[in-house]
Amino acid sequence: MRLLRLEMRAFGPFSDRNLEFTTEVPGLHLIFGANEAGKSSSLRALKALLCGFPQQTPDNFLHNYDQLLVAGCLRNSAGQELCFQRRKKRVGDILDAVGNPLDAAALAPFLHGLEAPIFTSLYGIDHDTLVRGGEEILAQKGEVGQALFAAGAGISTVSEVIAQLEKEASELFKATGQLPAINMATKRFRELQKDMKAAGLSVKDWKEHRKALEDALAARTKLELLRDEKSTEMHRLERLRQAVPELAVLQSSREHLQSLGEVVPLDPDFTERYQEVSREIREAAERLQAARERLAKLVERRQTISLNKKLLHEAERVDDFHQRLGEYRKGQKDRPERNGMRISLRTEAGRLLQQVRPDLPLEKVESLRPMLAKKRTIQTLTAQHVAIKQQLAAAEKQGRAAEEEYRRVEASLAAMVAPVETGSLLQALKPAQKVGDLDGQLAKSRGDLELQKRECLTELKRLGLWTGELAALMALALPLSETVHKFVEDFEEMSDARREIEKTRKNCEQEMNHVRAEIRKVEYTGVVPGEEDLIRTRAKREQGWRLLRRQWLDREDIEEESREYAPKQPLAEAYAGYVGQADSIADRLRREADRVAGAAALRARMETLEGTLVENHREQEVLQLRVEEQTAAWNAAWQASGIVPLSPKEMSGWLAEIDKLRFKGADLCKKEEQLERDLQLRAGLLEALAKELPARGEAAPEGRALGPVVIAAETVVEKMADRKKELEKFRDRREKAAKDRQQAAEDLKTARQALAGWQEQWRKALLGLGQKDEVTPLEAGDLLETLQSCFENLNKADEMQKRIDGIDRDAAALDREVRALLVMVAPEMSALPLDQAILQLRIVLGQAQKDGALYDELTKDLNTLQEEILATESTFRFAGEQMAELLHLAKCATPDELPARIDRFAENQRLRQKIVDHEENLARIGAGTPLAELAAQAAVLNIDEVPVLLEALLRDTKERLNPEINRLSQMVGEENTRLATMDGGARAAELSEAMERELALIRRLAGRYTLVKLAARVLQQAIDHYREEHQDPVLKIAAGYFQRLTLGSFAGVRTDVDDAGQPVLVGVRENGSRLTVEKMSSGTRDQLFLALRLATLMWRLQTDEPMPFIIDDILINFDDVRSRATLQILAELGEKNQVLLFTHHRRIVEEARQLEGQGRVQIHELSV
Amino acid sequence: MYKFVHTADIHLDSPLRGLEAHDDAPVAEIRGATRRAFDALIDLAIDEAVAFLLIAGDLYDGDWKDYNTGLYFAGRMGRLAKAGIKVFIVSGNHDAASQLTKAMPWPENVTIFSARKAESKKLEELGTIIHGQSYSFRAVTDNLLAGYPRKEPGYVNIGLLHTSLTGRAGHEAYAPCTVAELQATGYDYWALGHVHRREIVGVEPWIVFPGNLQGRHIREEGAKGVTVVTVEEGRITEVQERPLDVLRWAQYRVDLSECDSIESVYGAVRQALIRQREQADGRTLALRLVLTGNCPVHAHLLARTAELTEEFRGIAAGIGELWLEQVRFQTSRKVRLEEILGEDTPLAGLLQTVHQLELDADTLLTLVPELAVLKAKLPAEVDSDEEPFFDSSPAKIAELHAEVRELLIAKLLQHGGSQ
Repeated sequence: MRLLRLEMRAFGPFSDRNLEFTTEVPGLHLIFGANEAGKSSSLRALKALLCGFPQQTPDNFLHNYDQLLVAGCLRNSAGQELCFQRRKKRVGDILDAVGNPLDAAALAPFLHGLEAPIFTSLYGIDHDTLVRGGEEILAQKGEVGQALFAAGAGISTVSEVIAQLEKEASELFKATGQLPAINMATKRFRELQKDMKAAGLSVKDWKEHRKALEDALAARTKLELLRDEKSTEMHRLERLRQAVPELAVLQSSREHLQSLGEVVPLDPDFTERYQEVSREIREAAERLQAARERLAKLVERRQTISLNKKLLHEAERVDDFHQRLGEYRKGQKDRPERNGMRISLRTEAGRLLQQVRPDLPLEKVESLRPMLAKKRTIQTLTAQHVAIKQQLAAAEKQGRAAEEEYRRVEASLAAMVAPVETGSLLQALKPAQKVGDLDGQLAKSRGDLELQKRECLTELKRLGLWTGELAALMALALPLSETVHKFVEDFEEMSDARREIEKTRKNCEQEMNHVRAEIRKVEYTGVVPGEEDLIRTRAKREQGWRLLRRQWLDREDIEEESREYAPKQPLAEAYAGYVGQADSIADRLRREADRVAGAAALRARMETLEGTLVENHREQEVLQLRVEEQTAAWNAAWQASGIVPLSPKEMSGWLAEIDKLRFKGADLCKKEEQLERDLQLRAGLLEALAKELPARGEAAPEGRALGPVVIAAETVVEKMADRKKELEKFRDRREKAAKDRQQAAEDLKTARQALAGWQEQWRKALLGLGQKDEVTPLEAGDLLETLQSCFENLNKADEMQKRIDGIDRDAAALDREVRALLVMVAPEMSALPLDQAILQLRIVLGQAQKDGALYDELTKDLNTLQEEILATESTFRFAGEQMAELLHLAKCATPDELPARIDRFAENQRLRQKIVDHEENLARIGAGTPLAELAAQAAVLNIDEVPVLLEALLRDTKERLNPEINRLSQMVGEENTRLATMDGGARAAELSEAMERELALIRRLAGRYTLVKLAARVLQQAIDHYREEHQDPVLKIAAGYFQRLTLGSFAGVRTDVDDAGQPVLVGVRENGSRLTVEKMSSGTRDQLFLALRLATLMWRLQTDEPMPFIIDDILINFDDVRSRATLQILAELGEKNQVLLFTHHRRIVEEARQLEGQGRVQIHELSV
Repeated sequence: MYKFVHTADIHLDSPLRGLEAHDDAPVAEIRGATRRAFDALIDLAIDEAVAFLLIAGDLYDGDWKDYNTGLYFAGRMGRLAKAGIKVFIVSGNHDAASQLTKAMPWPENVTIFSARKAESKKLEELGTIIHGQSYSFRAVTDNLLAGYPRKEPGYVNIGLLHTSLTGRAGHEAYAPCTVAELQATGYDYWALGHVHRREIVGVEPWIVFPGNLQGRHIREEGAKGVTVVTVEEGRITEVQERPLDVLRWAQYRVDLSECDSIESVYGAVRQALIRQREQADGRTLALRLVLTGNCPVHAHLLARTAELTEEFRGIAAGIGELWLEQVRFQTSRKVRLEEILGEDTPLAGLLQTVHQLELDADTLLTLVPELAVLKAKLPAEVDSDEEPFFDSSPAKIAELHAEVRELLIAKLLQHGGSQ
């Protein structure tokens, strides 16, 4: 496949930038762009076209993602061409040349579904890959297989991949080691397994522990029983030891009680009651004495107090007087001041009246009071007066202004000129305006028509194959596009068929060669025995046996026959020989059955292939015949047009173009006719206007253009319209001025009538004031204000008089009331003035109140004391009665006998209590043993032996029984604890789950390990295999390239064997000395990699469809001479395989120019 | 009217297989799954006040010896005893020889049928009779049905049998018998065990495999539980399936044909996980994800399988209660590599080498001798009948071919291109 054109329609810095690859051979193409000129963008555009846009691209800075568009044309070795476009889209990114969606399958015959990384690797090289390739050769010490594989695949790091795989494998697993993932997981698994075994519970364990628990429980119960018996005996002895002293005390108490004899029984509280009653009698007598003495003293003291009871009754009135005294004193002080104010107010009123009516005395002032009521009327009239005056002035001013305006408008109207009529002019003008810029349109149409005509002719010339005028083209008889399409399909079909036949033939021949080689291989290893050989030998053997049998069993003479059977040997030996031979053949047939079958199969295959080849040849001839027929038919289809046709596919394109041209030609004719019609229309319009203009004082402009005439006509029409509008305006103004003048006269009349009415109202309003002269509205206001002040002063004076009268009335009332009281309660104070009398009365009242309070208190104390004496007397009597009752109970005659009787009763009680206490102690000690039995047991016991017996029992319990019981209890506890842990827990099950998780991990990792290891091994096999097949031919080509790339410094490259027996690459000098790759300079190693890369490419051309080889600036470190040598090699490669070299070094371009001009090198310069 | 529960193949305390531990794995959610499912069964029996529980074999795993499992089971039987629920058990191939059953002192409500001959237990108050026989050893290949008693007229006859019938895929053929033979007994209900997939073999009479109680590996996917049977007036009137599993297994194929970036792959996987999680009835889900389709990012996926598996696990952890059992990368390229790589290139040669590779166990060991060392070092459990260490089934070998090819192409091209 080769690239014919690359179009960067919208990509990176480019818009519609095309690169045409037009060399005759596929050629070497230098694509040069200085920095920023888009070299890298164009390289990416090429990859985008061939393999699709990557998901992200830096080439969207000028055009958005959705606008990015590249296009191009490809041609494959079968001669097929494909032009298509590609957008940056996920689906439907491929479009055909005119933008319709194109199925990706259409690209397959050219690109074979290449993905970008594979394309870059297989068909490209850049500087980095070159350098890394050189380093790789060093890293693998020139190992031939890897070097060839790497160069052939365009992969510079094969050894690194192998190392990576081995590294991953060793991280997963090592035969000895702890850290690799599988080793660690296995270790964890085994630990979990151990834990699980420990956590699990066996049936045997569980049963053993159950039995141990049950045994321990039984033994413990038995021992506990024994211990209880011992304990009972110890308690019995201990009780008796305590009971013996108690029994002795009990006996002596009983005897003492007996000796006391009969006693009078007394209540338990008798003694207490006796003491209480004696104390009460004594205390009551003492309290009575003291109370009677205090009563006498209180009566005496109350008799010394005297009381004024009348005054005490009037205490409220005295307080009231005292309060009113303050008011009285204030009134007496204010009275003279208020009288002075009253006099001055009346004087001021008299003065104000003087101002209004000097003739009227103050006493008659009340006759003027009605005037105050008219104040509002007078204020309203004053305001109306001002308004009427203003109306009058305004009406007069308006009348003058209207008169003036009327006179001015009249003068203007007299000076104006009348407008002229424009009807017919407008009628002529309107059609001209409607057509618009007819002049411009006509000029443009004419220009376009000429241009398109020229383009059509140029296009016709470009298409070739036919010459003539457009009109003749329209009439040209051409075949239908369907006819041509049919031919295209036929030719393509034939081309496909030819290719198919060719391919079949090639395959056939290849396979025949192969089969032939296989057959030779089989034949060289010895002639293969056939089934027929075996049958023959066996027949011979059978024949021998029959002879022997006849001779041996039937004693026949077989001399004759045996000579015939084996002329040179005795019969038996010959027979033995045939037996051996038959066995040997049978063995070989069995042993070499595969080979036998293989040989037969190969021969059969060979025959089939020969048959196929003959068939193939026949098909080729038939096809050739059909091609010739179709070619003749094709030429005939074009005979009528006199055109000698190219191939149907080309003619299909040509015909499409010609159809477009014919369509354009028809369109041009229509446009010419339209132009003519427009010219006639313009002449008519011009004539109509030119006739109208002079009649309105305007001359028509010269010439054929319509525009100026229309403008002149429009000017006239506008001027007349303006004049008419002005006249209308002045007439309107004159009418308005007349109306204003009349209105002003009416307003003046109305204002004067209003003034007369007002004057009448004014006179009536002021009538009551009694003024002789006329009063103005301003003066009337002042008079009313003064009159109002006069009345206010009079009102205030009256108020003062009323207050003075009030003070006098209050003072008289107080004096009357005080004097009346004095007569009643203190006649001696009647002579005192009023205020002193009130004060004195208050002092006397205070003293009387104090005396009253003291008297009441003494009376209260006396009453209380008398009640107390009565109560004490009652208590005294009650105590005496109680004492009498006590004497009766104790059967005593006097109180003095009582104490002795009480003491004897108490002794009796004490002894009884003591007996009860000891009996209780014994019951407690006996713990349920009846007293009599206890006494009986004590009687038979030797008390001195008890401690010894107790000691023996205690020691047995403590030292023998208890430790054994404890041991058994501990055992029970342990077994219980142990059994409690056997609770059906899930620990072992959980550990088993954890083990499964580790197993899952191990399985996955082991799978990965297998995969990685296997991959490494397979890769090595593939490398070896590639080396075996390609070493000789490729190295031969590479040697030549290496010599030229190193400028003869090396004569070539060949294989050698290193110390480890590995085949390695070595450089060979002219003198035959060899240089290992380690000893080469890094530049030389780069050139070695390049030589190998180009050699594999060259070799591949023999079998595979060529693809453009894309080189990205690999020459930057080459000097001029080496660059030239490399370019020369690339140019030679370009004769068979297209080479696209992207560079931004001008030097490389200059070098390449030296090679230009041979039709195989083309230089493309990029500039944005 | 009364109800009973029919269950089988509980395999108590046998572990869940194939779930590889990782950081975000919901370990706690699935711990002791068989026990928790069994607890749910006990709760169900008590809540629904069933009359009795039938266990049709394989209560335990044969080689499981932890007596704790037995103690746990006995404890649960005690609960049923308190609720007045009887239990009838036959042993199957897995627990025929189990010490756990023999040593246990059983509560009175538990009946274990003899292994010597078929027995019948009458429940007079329910008008029901239960016939059954245990396995005496693991591989019972005789037809046990022949020894089962005749139908008892006037009673509801229930047969308890651990059998593979005439054979079921993935299950060994034990105690074989035919459906016709079962029908001929005239029993009302055949409570079968052994087959782990739930199946109602017949309804006249009822012949039911309830399936196992809890799936334990990816081959036991879908809902698992028990069968609840209602008996009214001497007739079976209802047979209901009740899912009781704690963890559910599922496989899901995600089609990545439309994914043109790794991000969109994440999106598709996330959606698939969420959808599957929603369909798991609120159970924790153990999911095997199979990625398929002619995928534009096929090469990227194949080059990063380990890393992507981790990413997907991260997504699963985000969703919660989801354990990614395995991720299988089975996508394919849009165009076959052979077509792209031409005829005579090293990479085409590589494909050819892979293609011609024979991968049976012996060849593999000859080709990669280290694998013999590996196998020797690994725990024996790695190489089981169900999951052999070298699986030489045609599907597995084809898978390995594809993996080797894709791994090498991905590695080589990643290092080959300069851009």
